[in-house]
Amino acid sequence: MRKVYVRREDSYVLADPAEEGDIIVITNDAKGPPEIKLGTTLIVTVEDIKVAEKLRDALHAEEVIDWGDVVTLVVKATPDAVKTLFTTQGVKRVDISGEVRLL
Amino acid sequence: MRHYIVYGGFAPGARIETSTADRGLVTLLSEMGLDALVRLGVEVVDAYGEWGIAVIKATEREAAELKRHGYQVEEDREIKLSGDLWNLELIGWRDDYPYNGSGVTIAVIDSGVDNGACGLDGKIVGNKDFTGEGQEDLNGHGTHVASIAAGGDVGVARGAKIYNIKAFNKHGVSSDHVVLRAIYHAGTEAQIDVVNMSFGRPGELGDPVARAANWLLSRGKLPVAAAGNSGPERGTIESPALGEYVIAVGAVGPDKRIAEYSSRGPVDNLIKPDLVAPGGVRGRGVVAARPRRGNPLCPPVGNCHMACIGTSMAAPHVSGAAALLFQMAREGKLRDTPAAVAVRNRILQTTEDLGQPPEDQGRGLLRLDKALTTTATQAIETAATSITAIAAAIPIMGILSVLAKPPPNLQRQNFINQVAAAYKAGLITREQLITLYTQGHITLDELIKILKL
Repeated sequence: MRKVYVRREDSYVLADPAEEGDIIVITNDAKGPPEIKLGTTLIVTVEDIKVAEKLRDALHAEEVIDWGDVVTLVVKATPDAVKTLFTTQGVKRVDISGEVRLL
Repeated sequence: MRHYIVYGGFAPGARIETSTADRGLVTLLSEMGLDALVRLGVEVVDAYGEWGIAVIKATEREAAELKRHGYQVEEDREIKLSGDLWNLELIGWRDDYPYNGSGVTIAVIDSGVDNGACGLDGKIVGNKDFTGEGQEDLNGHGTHVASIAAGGDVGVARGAKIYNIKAFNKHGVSSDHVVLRAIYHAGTEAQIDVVNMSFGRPGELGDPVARAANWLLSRGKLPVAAAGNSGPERGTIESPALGEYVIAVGAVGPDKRIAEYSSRGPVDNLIKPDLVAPGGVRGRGVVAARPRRGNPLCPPVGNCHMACIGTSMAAPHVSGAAALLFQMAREGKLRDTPAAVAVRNRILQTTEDLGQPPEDQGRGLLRLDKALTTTATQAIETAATSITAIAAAIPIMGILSVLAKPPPNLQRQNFINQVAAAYKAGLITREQLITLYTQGHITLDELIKILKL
């Protein structure tokens, strides 16, 4: 089934495909969080280094880490970035960089 | 005149910030419920609002008078192995083992490490700061953790070195993407053998941090992480501890009971936590070094130590034990290779069963004495004697080597029956079974039979 992100104020929210407005249709099956607040830091997982290099240049990635089997990019969440990440083939997963605490 | 530590009148859960208060000592002591110290004219050396503790210099008579006021008054003392270092006794640590972690380096991804704290002088072989604050420990957590792992006075691996990777700021906070940088740095530094991660947040298998921590094992580094302090609810193991190849460490108190705060499994079909180690309970924390500067994070003990509790304190016991085993592996005394896998297997195969559910205790309590003295074959035989213990005999990375050479006291059919039971109980995954078949360790008939159960 088609999945979309819809713009709600300063966020993109995973929504019903029937919704209208500022919509980004997910065309690459990437797994993403239920809500992406603009301005937050995103951790992007891709499997192909060539895709990672393309995204690094297009989205001005802050960091690119090659783990061998996957590549991680750190990017800021902008409307263009969200659209690119969910429409570029080879992007497997998008996570929000959350807070981690000492235990 | 002697030094005493005074508790009293402190409401549990209350937080009185010592450093931010714009007030004098008299007001602070009053807020702490220790105003009798002022009335009696006792000399107050230090007061820690956060912990409701004051350090005083007093006569025995004055100390007795304070007790009559209902305060708890304890004489400041030297740390002794018996009693204060209950944590080392609990895991079977002794100072006469032939291994002390010499030649092994433990990376501590934390809030920094004070290289001048007690027992840590000359221990630091590398520093990397990802916070922008500088490599100094402005929180205290990292120094305490490093001290438990490798402190020269109270640590598990007193000959091991520390690599300080600072990813957490003075408030003990970081972000996933900063932690990823820190883990990557640990994985690419050749001299690092063990990576201690006493931090976490809710996550899932496959999340970026858990995945990165798993990756460390492929780089020959042993990843060890605190299970989390979100117990006793089930399913509260945090990331990165929930990673398949990360050793997730839960906590026990001095009586070997699982600490209530210790996060519980399960995580999918994995046994999590993997094991438990001393984390302490209220009033009986793990004693280790505190930084020279700043207010102590936990109740102070003596001149340069403090007693903290949490799975953060449990994890470095395992990291320290791993350092001793790495040293042992380098002398050719462990069978499996690579060394990180051999160390991992040995730690998990030689635990003490505390009789608690796997979701609480994992495979049981870390036992350094057993890990250092048990032969590899004995470890497998001991662990493989019951169905419920099969997972202890077959840690994920060791499954192929164990089945390729089954324990000598078990008939093959009997062993296959145990594997089948473990699969049925969810201790071995379907993918692992299929791998066993594709590698030729079980036949197709045996695979089908097990999968149909």
